[in-house]
Amino acid sequence: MKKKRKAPDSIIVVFSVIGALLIIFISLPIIATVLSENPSDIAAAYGNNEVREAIYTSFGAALIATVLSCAFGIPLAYVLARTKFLGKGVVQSIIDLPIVIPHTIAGIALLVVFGRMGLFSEEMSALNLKFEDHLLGIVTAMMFVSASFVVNASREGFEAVDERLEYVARSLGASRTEAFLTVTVPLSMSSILTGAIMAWARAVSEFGAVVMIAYFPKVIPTLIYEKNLHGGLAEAMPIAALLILICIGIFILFRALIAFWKRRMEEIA
Amino acid sequence: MIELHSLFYKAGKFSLEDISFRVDEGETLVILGPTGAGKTVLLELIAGFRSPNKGSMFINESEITHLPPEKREIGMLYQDYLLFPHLDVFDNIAYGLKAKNLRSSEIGRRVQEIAERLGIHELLERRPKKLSGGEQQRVALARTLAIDPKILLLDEPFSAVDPNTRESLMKELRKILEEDSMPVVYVTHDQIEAMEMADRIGVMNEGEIVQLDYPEKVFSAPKSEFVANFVGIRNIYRGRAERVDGSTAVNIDSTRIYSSVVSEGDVHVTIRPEDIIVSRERISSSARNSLKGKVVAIVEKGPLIYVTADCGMKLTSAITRESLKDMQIMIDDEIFMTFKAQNVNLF
Repeated sequence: MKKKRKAPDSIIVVFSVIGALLIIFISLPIIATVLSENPSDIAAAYGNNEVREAIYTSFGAALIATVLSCAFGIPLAYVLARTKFLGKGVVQSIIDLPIVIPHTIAGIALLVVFGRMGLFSEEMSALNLKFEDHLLGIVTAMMFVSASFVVNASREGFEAVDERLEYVARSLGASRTEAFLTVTVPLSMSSILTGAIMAWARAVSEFGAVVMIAYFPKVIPTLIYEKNLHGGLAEAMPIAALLILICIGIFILFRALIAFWKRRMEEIA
Repeated sequence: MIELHSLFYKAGKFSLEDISFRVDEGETLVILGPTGAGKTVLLELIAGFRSPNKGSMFINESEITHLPPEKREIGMLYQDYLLFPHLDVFDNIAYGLKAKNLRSSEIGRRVQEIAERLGIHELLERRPKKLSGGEQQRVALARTLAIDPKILLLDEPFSAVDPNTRESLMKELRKILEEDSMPVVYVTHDQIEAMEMADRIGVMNEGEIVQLDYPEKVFSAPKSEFVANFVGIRNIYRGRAERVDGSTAVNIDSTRIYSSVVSEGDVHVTIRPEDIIVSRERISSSARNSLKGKVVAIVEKGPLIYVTADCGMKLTSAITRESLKDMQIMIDDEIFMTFKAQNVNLF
C-alpha cells in the first residue's frame, strides 16, 4: 500500500520560513560578493603576487598548525577518552578556553609569552627564535585558536570505539600502541578528519590573534583588511571574492572526503 | 592449567569475593550464574583487562597476575564477538598472527587452515557486518584459536545465536574444544548449556562462587537455596553406556537403566522429573525402566511436589499435590519410579 503524503505540521512550516531567513542571511552576502565582481577582476587578483603569497602563507601556516594540533591533540584526546583522573574537567576546560576568549586577546596573551619582551625572550634569542612578524608567530596563533577542534572531535571518535575491541586486540598479542593504531584510529578516522578539517578552516579564517602577533608575512585576512583600509572596498572585494571561491571549493572537497569515509564506515559498522 | 588463588576485585558497588579455582588441560569449567553475578568481570580479570585488588593467578605454574593481556596468551571470546568491523574475515583471523610478526605466507597458510577447520573458508573476503550470528561466532573463535592460546575464555558464546542453530553449534564447539584440549573457562546463565558443556560447574552469585562441583552434583545436590532455585531440580548423572541387544544400557553406580539414545562409553544422563511416574506398586506398562526405592525427600515447589527416592541412584519425580494426597507418600516409604527409555537423554 502506498503511503499517503502527509501535509507537514504547521510548526514545521513556520520554523522552515524562519530558518530560511537565516540561510538567506548567511548566503546572500557571500553570493553577492562573488557575483558583484567581474570574473576578470577575480582572475587578476589571483595573478597578483602579493595576493598569491598571502594565500600560500595562510594555507601553509594553517596546514602546519593543523599537523601540530594533531600531533599533540590526538594523544591528549585518547587520554581524555579512556581515563578518569582528578582534574579532568579542568583539562577539558583549558582545551575549550580558546573558543571563548576574544581572539585579539588571545593574540596579546601569546605576545606575553612569545613576544620580544615575553616570558621566554632570553631563551628565544639564545635559540635565535622569532615569533613576532614571523611565520612561527602565525602558526602559533592559528594553533592556539584551532587545536580544540582536533581534541574534541578526536575524543568523541575514540569514545565511540568500544574499548573491548582494544582488549580483544591486546589479548591477541597486540601492544596497547598497536591496538590504538590498528583498531582505534582506523575506526575513529572520520572524526579525526572532521576535527582536522575544522581546525584547518578555523586557522585559515583567523585574523585577530594572527594580526596581533604577526602582521607580516601577511595572511589573507590581513591583506584584505589592509586593502580595505587603504583602497576601500574596490580593492578588497576581488580578493575577498577569490577567497570565497577557493574556500567553497576546498569545503566541497573536504565534505566529499568525509562523506566517503563515513560511507565506508557505514558499510562495515 | 590455570589457577586462581583468592582473587578479590572491587569496582564501585560491584565486587568479586575470594575466587579460587583450577582448570586443567582439556577441562571445561562452566561459570553458571544469573545476569549481573560478575561472570564477565571474572573473565576480564583472567584475561588481564582488569586488575584484581588481591590474589594471584597462574598459568602452568608461572604467575600472570601482573602481566599485560598481550603477554598472557589467553584467548577471550566476548558474547557479542567484537570482530574488528573495519577488517574482513581474513584480516580478523590474521590479526593475532600479524601482531606476532609472522611472514605473510605463513599467516596466509594458518588462516586458511583454521578457516577450513571451522568451515568459514568461503567467508574470508566478507566484512563482519555481512555475517550471521553463527558465522560471526566462528570467525571470532578462529581469530582466537589462530594464536594457539594457552587458555580459552568464552563469555556466553551462544547468547547471540538463534536457537535453531544453537544445538549444532554447541556440538561443534565441544568437538573443537576436545581437539585442542586446553583449559576452558566458559560463562553462561543457561543451565542446559552448562550441563552440556561442563566438566565442572561453578555456580556464581553476587560476585561469589557459591558451589564448585561436578554437574551432576550441582544439579542433584545443590548446597544452598540459591543454587537449588537457580539450577532447578533435575536428574543428571554420569554413567557408562553400552549396546545391549539393540538398545542402550547405561550403568550409573550400581544401577542399570535403558535409553533409546544410541551411544557408547562415558555419557551424561538426564531425566526430567516430569517424565517419571511414581507408584506404590510396580506397574506394568510400556516403560522400560522401573526402579524400586525409598523416599528420601518431599519438596514443594509451586504447584508441583518433588519426590526424591534412593533407587541406587537418586531420582526425583514431579507429581501433583493431588497425587501425593491420593498415594499418601511419606519419607522412608517404598515406592516405584517408572520412566520410558525415550525419556532418558544421553549426551
